[in-house]
Amino acid sequence: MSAKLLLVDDEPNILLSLDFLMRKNGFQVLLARNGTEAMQLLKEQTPDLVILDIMMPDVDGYQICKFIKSDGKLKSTKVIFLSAKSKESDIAKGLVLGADAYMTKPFANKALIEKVKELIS
Amino acid sequence: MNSFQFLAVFISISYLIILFLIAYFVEKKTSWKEYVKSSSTIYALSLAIYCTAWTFYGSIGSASKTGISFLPIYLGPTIMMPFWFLIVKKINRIAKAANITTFADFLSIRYSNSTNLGMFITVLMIVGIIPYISLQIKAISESFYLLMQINHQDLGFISSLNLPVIVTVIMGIFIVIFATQKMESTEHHSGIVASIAFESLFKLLAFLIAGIVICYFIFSSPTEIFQKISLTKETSRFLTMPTNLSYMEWAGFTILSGIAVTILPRQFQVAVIENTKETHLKSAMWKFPLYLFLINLFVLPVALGGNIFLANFSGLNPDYYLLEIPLINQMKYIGLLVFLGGFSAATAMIAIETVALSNMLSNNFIIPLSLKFGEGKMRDTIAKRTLLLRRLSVIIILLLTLIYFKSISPLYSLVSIGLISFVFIAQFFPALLGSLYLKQSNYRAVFGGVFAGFCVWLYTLVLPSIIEGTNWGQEILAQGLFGLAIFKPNALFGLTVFSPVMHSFFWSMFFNVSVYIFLSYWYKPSNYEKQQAHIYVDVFKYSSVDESQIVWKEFAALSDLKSLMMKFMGEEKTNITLKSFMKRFGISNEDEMTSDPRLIPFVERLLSKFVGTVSARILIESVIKEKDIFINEMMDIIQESKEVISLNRELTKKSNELEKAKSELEHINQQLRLHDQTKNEFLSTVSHELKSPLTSIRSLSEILTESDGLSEQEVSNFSGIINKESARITRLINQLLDLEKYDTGKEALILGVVNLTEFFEDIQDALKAELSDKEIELKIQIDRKLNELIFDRDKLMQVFINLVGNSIKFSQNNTKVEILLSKIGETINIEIKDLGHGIDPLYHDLIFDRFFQAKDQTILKPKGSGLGLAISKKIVELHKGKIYVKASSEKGTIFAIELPQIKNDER
Repeated sequence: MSAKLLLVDDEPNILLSLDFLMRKNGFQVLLARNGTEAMQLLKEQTPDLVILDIMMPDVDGYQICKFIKSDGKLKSTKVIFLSAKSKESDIAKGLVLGADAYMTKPFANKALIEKVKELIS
Repeated sequence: MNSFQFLAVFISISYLIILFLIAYFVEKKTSWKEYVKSSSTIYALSLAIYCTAWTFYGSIGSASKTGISFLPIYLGPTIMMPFWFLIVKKINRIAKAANITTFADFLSIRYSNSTNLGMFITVLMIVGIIPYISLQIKAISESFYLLMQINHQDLGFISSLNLPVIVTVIMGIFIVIFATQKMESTEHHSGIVASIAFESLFKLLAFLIAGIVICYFIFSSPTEIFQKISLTKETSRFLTMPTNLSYMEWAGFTILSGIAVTILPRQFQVAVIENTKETHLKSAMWKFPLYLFLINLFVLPVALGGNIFLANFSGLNPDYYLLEIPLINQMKYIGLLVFLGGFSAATAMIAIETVALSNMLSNNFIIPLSLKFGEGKMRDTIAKRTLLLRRLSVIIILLLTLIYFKSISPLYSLVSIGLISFVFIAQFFPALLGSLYLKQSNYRAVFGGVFAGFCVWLYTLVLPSIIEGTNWGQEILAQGLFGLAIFKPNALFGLTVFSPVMHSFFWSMFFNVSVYIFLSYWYKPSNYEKQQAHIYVDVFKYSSVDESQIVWKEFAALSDLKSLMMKFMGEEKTNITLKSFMKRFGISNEDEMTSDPRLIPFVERLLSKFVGTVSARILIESVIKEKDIFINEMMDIIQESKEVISLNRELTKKSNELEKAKSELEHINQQLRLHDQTKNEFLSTVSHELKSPLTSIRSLSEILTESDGLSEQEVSNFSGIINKESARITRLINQLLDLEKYDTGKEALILGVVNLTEFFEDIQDALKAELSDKEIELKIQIDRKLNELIFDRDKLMQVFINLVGNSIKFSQNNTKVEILLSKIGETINIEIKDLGHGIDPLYHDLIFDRFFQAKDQTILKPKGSGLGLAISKKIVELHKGKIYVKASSEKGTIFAIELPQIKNDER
């Protein structure tokens, strides 16, 4: 069975292109347009990997990551932060929270897909 | 002039015009340009510039005398191709990352004292290559006279044309038009590359067609040629290793040619500077040797066929068999085709070699000199003069070529000039290899090695030919310098097994390499050289290829490392630690420390004490990898998206807009630099705000260009989004520009008498779409006493559209927004009321700050660009008024604006 991804971004157009990319690469996809939706989905589902924006108007990506890493059910769920924040302190914070990768926007499609595949295999 | 001669001249000129047109249209049409850049075959064909007129005519000449001895020149590149790949891949990576424009750049940036080194290399390169260029001109004019079938003494009308001068002038015009248009010499000259590739194809076809005609039509088959030759008992001489050419000599030539294909300026230009994709190198590994194989296919049969004819036509010149055999068989048009083939080989070589050398001359010689010695004024205008200087360099190079052609070249044959050049250029190879693989390498070693090789070359190869040509100093040749036999120029230290060229190659490389290695270890590299050594030698560690673009992981700036350390150790301890680091390694100032390659490992080790080795590595990498994106980088990204977009025809229009956005960004960048420190925070927010739309644009553009089988609807949907996001960037940039203007006081009010009823009607119109979307009613109440006021109509319009727009955005459907306008005393009071969910009192002041989330320590993102209110505030303040949140609760918000009334006489 193909892996299930949860994509979280409050920019609808970024979400749209992520959605297209991941489906095209044969993944199952769940979409969340903001932090609240993401939390809701995470309570019901166990995705294999979450691509997570950080700056969102309600619940931010760091909190979601913290939740994933503390929830026993989501033990094997990988997290990639995909954020426009590119300061070393932001990246460090993301990694300290237990994320498996941190990629900055604007991202290269190929690089992102490769990272996803690498983490899932 | 008879009709054929006339036709020949006409076709030659037409051929040149075709070259011009190819270059012109490729430069002009984006889709063609992209095709040229993305085609690995065109890249491989452009490498075939290696085959000059010397190949085209000369190798047959050489084969006719010594059989297969011509082969090493082509076997060399073929056998060396895997090494070529390794070396050029590395050079390419470095060149792209460091914006290198010439071979001289490549070496000089690696070492201290770079200006002198650059000049040194430039001068030597010009000395070594000019003869080679004039060789091409010689080939053109000789082959032209042959084609015209006129004696050199009986030139008549043609001689008055002075062919070499005409050819040189036309080439000069071509190069000036297509190669010196852009300031950056790192820019790709796709137009020229395309015409070079065309010429490569043309000369190959011409050679093959002529070969086939000679072998199968003039003779009945190649077998006939070989049979006839075998009657003369010469077969073994041509098809086995000649006795005068030892295997060592063969190997030597193979190596020499392999070096030449890497290092000749024209090869460096097409292989590195004009390279657009690293992956092109891979396919060039087989395509280029295939080309060499094909173009040599008929060399031997034609050479031997020519020898058969030579028995009856004693006046034939073996160098021009390919041209003369068809001509004496009355095949004028095949002759014309051959002439054009040779012509294209020569012109391509002249064009690229001149571009490469003139870039070197201007970038590494003239500009540094004028910066050094020029007056202050000179320095200011150098940017403007760059293009002029580059054009001047082209003219200088071509002029030198002509002078050489007129005065020196008649003394030597085609082949000897080519080989003398090869040996000379090879002198740079040890330094090149050392720069790539030897961290010890330093500028003294490079100077020393090249200079030693150069001197030996002069003594063993140039001196003997001068002596032979002039009858001067015969005793040196016969008895050696000062009568010492071991110093005989042709048999240095008693070495006699080689031909003169190989003899010179052997000894010059011997001394070159010895001196280079000795000095590399004798002198220590400077700090600068140590740092550059890291970048050059370990380039694959510090860079990665992100599609066609090379991402450079620069050394971390000291301040970044420092702030990282401070997080763990505190400020005081950080400073003490860094000071002790400086003391330990004898570093006197911070600048030097930043470039010290030991700093990063040092900090890494230090951090690993706090967080463990792996995390330390990650932290350091996060600093090295991507510093906060600066506007320059944003421009690169925009540029990149622009290029991707331009592939898609529907989007060409958008790419123009992005181009405009880019130049505007450049403008902002300049402005912002003035404010520097205080703007840092602002800048990082700007870049962040620009990144969101850019992310969609980049990702979707990649999808559009890289995914096959998109449906029509997906294409139009994605293109539509790209359009919208581009507009969003443009809007943001315009707002930024506005803000800058207000900040720097460049924006003045344009006051006028405004009719209020009309004014508010216009506002209503502008917001029509937003209002009807949410079915919101806009109520406007104006104090009856007021019907006209004096203010800046356009600017206040912007304020109202902003405020009312915000109110609409935050209101529920089916509600209303009110504007109230009244006058109390001399003050105009304006209120804008909505029934939205209100603004937290904490933020009542902050919302007027630009990008108010910059100050907002929570990372929650506000809607909108974050600049609208900041601009509104500036406009109101320019009217000497004030703007504030008058009241706000869960039931709605009231924004208030107070403006002092402007009297007619205050205008």
